[in-house]
Amino acid sequence: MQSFDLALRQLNGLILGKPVAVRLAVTCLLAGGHLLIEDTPGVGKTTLAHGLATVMGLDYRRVQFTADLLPADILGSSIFERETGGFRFQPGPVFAQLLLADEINRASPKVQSALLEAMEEHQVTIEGVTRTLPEPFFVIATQNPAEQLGTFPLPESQLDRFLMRVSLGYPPREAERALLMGENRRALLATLLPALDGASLRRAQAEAAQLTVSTALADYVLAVLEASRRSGRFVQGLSPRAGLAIIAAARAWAWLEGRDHVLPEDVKATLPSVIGHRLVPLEPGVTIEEEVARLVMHVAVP
Amino acid sequence: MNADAGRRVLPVLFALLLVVTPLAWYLPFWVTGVFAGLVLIRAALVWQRRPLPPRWLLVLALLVPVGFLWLTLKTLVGREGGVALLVLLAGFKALETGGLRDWRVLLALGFFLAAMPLLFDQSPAAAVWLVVSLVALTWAMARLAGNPPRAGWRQTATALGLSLPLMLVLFFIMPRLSGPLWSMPPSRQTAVTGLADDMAPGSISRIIPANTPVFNVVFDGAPPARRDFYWRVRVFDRFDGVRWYEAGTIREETLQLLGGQPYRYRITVKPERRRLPVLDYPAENAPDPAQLQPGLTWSSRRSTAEETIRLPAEGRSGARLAEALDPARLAHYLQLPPGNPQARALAARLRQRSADDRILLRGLLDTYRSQPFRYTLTPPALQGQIVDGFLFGSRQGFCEHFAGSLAFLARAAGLPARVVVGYQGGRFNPDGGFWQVRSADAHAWVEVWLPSEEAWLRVDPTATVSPDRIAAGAESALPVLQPTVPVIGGAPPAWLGRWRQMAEAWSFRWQQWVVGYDADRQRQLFRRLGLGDEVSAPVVLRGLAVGMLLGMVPLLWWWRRRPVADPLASGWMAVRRRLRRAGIALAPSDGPQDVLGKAAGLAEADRIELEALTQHYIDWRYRGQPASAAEIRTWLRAVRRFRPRQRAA
Amino acid sequence: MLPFRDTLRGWLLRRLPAVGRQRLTQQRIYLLPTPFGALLLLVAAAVWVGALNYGVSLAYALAFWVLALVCVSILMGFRQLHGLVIACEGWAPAFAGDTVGFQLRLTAPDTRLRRLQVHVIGSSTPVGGACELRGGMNAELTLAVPAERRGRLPLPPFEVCTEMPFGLVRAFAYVRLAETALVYPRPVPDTGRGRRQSGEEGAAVRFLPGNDDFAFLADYQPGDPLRRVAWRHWARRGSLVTKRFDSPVAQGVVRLDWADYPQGMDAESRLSRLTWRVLECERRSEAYLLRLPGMTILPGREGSLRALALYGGPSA
Repeated sequence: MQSFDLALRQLNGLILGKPVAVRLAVTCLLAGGHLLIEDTPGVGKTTLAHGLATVMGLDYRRVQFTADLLPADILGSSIFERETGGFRFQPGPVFAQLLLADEINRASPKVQSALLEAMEEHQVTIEGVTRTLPEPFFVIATQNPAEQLGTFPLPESQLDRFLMRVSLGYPPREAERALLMGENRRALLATLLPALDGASLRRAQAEAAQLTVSTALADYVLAVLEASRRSGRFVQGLSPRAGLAIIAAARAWAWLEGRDHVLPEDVKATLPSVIGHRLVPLEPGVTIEEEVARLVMHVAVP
Repeated sequence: MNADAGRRVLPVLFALLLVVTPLAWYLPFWVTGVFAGLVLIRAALVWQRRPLPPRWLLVLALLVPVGFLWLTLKTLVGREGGVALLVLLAGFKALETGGLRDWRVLLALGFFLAAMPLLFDQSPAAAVWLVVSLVALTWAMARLAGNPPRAGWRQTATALGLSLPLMLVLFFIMPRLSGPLWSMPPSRQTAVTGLADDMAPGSISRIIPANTPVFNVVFDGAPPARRDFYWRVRVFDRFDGVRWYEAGTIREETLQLLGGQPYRYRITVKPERRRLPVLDYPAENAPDPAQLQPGLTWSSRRSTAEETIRLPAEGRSGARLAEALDPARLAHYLQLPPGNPQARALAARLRQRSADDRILLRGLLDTYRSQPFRYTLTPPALQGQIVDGFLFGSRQGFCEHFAGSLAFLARAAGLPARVVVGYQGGRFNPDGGFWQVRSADAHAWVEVWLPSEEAWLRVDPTATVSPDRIAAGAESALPVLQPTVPVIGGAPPAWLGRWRQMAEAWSFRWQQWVVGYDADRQRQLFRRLGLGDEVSAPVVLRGLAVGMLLGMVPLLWWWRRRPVADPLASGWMAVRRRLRRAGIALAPSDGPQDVLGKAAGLAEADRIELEALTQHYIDWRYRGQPASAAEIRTWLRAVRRFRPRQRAA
Repeated sequence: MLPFRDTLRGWLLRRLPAVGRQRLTQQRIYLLPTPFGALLLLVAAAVWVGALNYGVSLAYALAFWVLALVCVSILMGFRQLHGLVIACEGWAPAFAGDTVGFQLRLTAPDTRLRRLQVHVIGSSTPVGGACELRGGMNAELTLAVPAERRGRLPLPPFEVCTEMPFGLVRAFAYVRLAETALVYPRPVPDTGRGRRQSGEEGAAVRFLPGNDDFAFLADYQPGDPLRRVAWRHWARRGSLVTKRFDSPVAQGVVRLDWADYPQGMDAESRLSRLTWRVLECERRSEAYLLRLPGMTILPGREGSLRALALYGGPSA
């Protein structure tokens, strides 16, 4: 717990005025899920991803996704070694505990799907050999939704490989002033201390996964799922996998709150991030945030 | 809901059968039989989902039983006729009932039919059956509205239970009418108590105690004792073996009133067949338009008899009616038809044993005391030797039987005698300061002429058998139980006697407070409730308001109650309701912690209380900690006590 | 329908504010006896008069009990609606001439058995439905409101009513929810134009610069566009293969233009035909670009249909 407090404090010092987004990002990692940070450039997506990797004490790699990136650039490839006269596998950046996929929507679908497969299976198959990825394995991807031209937006079916999607948005005025007057963020990044390591993070994940989910809470989540399917306001309703994601995220959030049980409030706190990228509003011109808020409002809490 | 309301309509038919069942005792047996047959046919059609018979066929089929009814009863109006016709029509209505609307009309008809048995019987059993009918009808109503059977029962029980207090309040407080709006045509075999032109004791097997006022009297000064309230209307001086009637042959009389207490009164009356009731014994000089008639009775001179007249009258209470009978009249008052040998033998025996007229008369009266005679309004009918049949057979009857048989015995024993019919008793109305005599007070007694004293003596054999009838009025004497327990060898066991006493007491109360609850009783009740002697419209309204409020109490209690499916959920709902009432805007999507957050503005103590309540709720609902029933009860009690207030600004 | 009743209803409806969700309270619930209730009151009156006349005391009891029963069922009817929360959860867009299904959610404050009916007020065709709330907390109901014209279709005011539990009393409440659905123009087949445009590759306009480089050949899958089949390959080897391209956006784009139609054609006919063509393109998974006077709509079914629905309207 204390180490998580330390991690959160450091991150809040780095990303000013966004405690909720930061907490959600940490929750996502705690729940063992991959995180998608989606926002316009310059609000600190990459900084947050960097910061997260650092304070979590994870071995991390960063890949800047571009259109000419090939799957092998991420997964790794066999290289002929003159000395031995044979091929040696050179692991790509995906064999890190934390992979930072910057601007994931710039890469071609082939690269995207290679990465997404690794995220889903926690293993990669290269040249007929299946290799397991390290534990824990996280992907933090960033993308810029406003940029449409020359990009390959992640297909909806693959978006739900990410447990949560977090947006940062512009900082509040006070925070922005502090930002302007304060240190360079990049310099600040270098001062961050790892608050955890892989082992302690795994312990915390195991604990969070044990939190009590009562029947009443399960009923509440079911009601949310049903409402999304029935309301007719979404192209498609939430899948059972989404339900599992909701529970996992709520557990992690409750663990961060220091509770041994999950409350509907935990579900409601994480819900917009968990289901925001899994739903598409049917009515044009309405943002998904509005729709999710509306959905939450209509489901009565037991 | 379409025309085929499905089998949901079967309860309607079932309820109708229940409602009509008691009428089987009072109507020609085939009427209820036909009704039951029609209803069962309809039920079978519903069950098998078969179509209804054509309407023209029904109309034709209806003509047969209605015609038969006409032949049996000779009428289609009146109590039997009207009710029988209604029952038949209801049966045929059931056979042409198609849509939901029709079924509802039929059900409403069922509610109306439920009142019909009450015209014949108002015993506690009838009341029980009324409740049974109401339950069945209400349930049918709930089923017809589409409720499943179990929910229907629950709703029926709730609705009837909640409406019971309202009904009781209305029953006791709604103003009652003192007289009828119109009169019911008399029907066969029964008589309304009241005065007829003749008196045939054996032929009437049932008497309906109609309780309509006949006349009102206001005394100038103190009235005579109530037991002397004998209002004479007619004198029957001839008996033909079946009935007593006015021979109309006596023209001249030499009457003389001796002694007694003089009094004056004013009477308001609507003459029946031009006769006017007068208190024993009236003065001979009758004021206009009254006219003295033979037998010291008054009649009205006016031919338009049906208008109410008021006239002052005077008379003497406790006076002696002296008259010197000449031989012709003596013979007239001793005349008897042949027959009734046992009565004649009894009279002869008593005559031989008696030293003088008074002892003889006492001996005759003792006959009624020494034998188990019973006063009842539902005696068995008599035929043939009706006097013997009554005196030595049934020994059950009302005043006509007693008066007729005593007059017969007296004549057989050689004492001139005649039957006087009129009214006995009356009820004082303290609000109006007048006495009222009702048709149920109708009475018959005997006057015997004692040769030794040359005077007519009033003898009331009914008083010998049922002193209550004279002391308290007909009403209190009515609830006489039929001897249902055979008495073998001596007195019935003590517990049986006790039980019978209790039953009679309850029966009396039933009679007094339910069957006999009328305008007078109502006034009495109001007085007892302290609503004042002046029963005016505001008083009634006030009573109505108070009573309605009392009747609403269970309603309010029910209103507060919520169905408790999950006590925890309903308790939490109550907490949220209380908070909303305290002005805290809560949304259904607020979880327990949201609620706590929004309630931060509560007064300190309330907030701590809310925190405790919420923590328990969370522990049980979300933390998976098991809660014992006792813990939940304690928590629910705390919830009920929880009345949060906002912190003062 | 009685004119008086219509007047009263009109007055009530004018006072009715449009809200996001409606909680039924004393001010919203009206109670009237049904014809059956009135009939039963009449029976009670008849029994009462009979009791009055013949002095039948128990008949008074019957008359008053029936009267009290009607009174209590007024209360029970009120309780059927009291506390009910009605909200519109959403709607499915429809084409003019179809019906828009507004999803209503009725949430009860307790677990009482409730049977409710919902009718749209003032609709020429009866629109409504029934639902039952038993034990649980809520129920859904779809109000299929006929969509006559394209554009925005506000959820009409409706009536929630019940005759429970005995059919003696009708408890009803008028509700107006602030919810507006979208009605797309009625599609009118425009077959000639549709076929020509999709058939002639040359007529299609290249849209969006993309690297539509040929990537590889794959086995033909049913459903592959015929114009992607490598015919030359087929001629030589006799097997059908399809050309696969790297860029999904780089395709031939069909232009659906307002100006495709003769000048005299009225706006609605144009919109209907354009709608049909949008749907047709969607069905064939063809890229298309919709042009209306003063605007070009980015590809996408929802956006295009929305533009067609709202064209010329106040909020277009």
